[in-house]
Amino acid sequence: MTSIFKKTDLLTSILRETYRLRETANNGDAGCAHTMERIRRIGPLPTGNDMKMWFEHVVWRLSPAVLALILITAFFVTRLDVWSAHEVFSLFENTEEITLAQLFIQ
Amino acid sequence: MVMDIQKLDDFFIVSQVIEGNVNAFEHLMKKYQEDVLKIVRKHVPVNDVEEITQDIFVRAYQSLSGFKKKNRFKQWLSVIAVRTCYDFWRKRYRSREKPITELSDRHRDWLQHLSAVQSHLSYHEAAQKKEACELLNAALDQLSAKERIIIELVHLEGLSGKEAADLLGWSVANVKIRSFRARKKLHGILAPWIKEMEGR
Repeated sequence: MTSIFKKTDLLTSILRETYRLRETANNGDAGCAHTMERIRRIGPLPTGNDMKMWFEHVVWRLSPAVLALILITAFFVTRLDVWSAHEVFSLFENTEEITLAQLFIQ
Repeated sequence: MVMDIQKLDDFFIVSQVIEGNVNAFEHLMKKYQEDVLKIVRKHVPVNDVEEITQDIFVRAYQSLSGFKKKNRFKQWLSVIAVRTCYDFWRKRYRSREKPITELSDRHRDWLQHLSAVQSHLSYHEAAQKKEACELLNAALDQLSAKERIIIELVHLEGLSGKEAADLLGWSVANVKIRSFRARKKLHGILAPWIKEMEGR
């Protein structure tokens, strides 16, 4: 009596052989004429000189870098202490000029 | 003048097609149709071979500008062929009916005869039987599209993990993991059939 491993091996090798035999099966062809008909309907491929295509390509290629730049800028802008700097600035701006004489009077 | 298509440089023909000579693509098609057919016949059902082969050449034509001189055209086309076959199964699996898991008496008889297979000749004959083909299809139908393509490429065709990864555009680690899981699942499918080989 053959072992279960041998049987598994036998079945898998026969199925593998069946799979390989499919390659040589004489069925179906590439249908050259029909395929060429479909390709002619598509027409010539767009050439690399097309400015619009080139521009689109460049935009898409640059988009990750642009996105990263926007995120980095947004991060730094939020971290920057803009408000307090503005407050300090307005403090100087609104301070009344006090003369030396006024200071003595007070 | 009849051109010997075997002697023409593939990259030269590709550049001709890209420059607008659509008909030059026919040379590439004729040169590689048999190679593509070999791949398609193994991966898709007989009735779909012609349609899928046409789709492969149309896809190849549309992505021709992506072909680089350093690549071999046959290899580049093989990648498109395998991925188109994989796409075929992905679409098919979405709309397919539940696969048949019950064996008929004819299949049971075939499985029982396998135990008696001794010589290489009878082994080859057994593989050629209609039942072998039906059982292979039944086993593969129970796998998902990803498991199916991995089993076909790695276990049935004998490609390495790297070769399969290059064809499918997956990482080698991904191929290895999927291959291991798919093989385990296939063993589960084959287990009752192996019991049948013992006899009822």
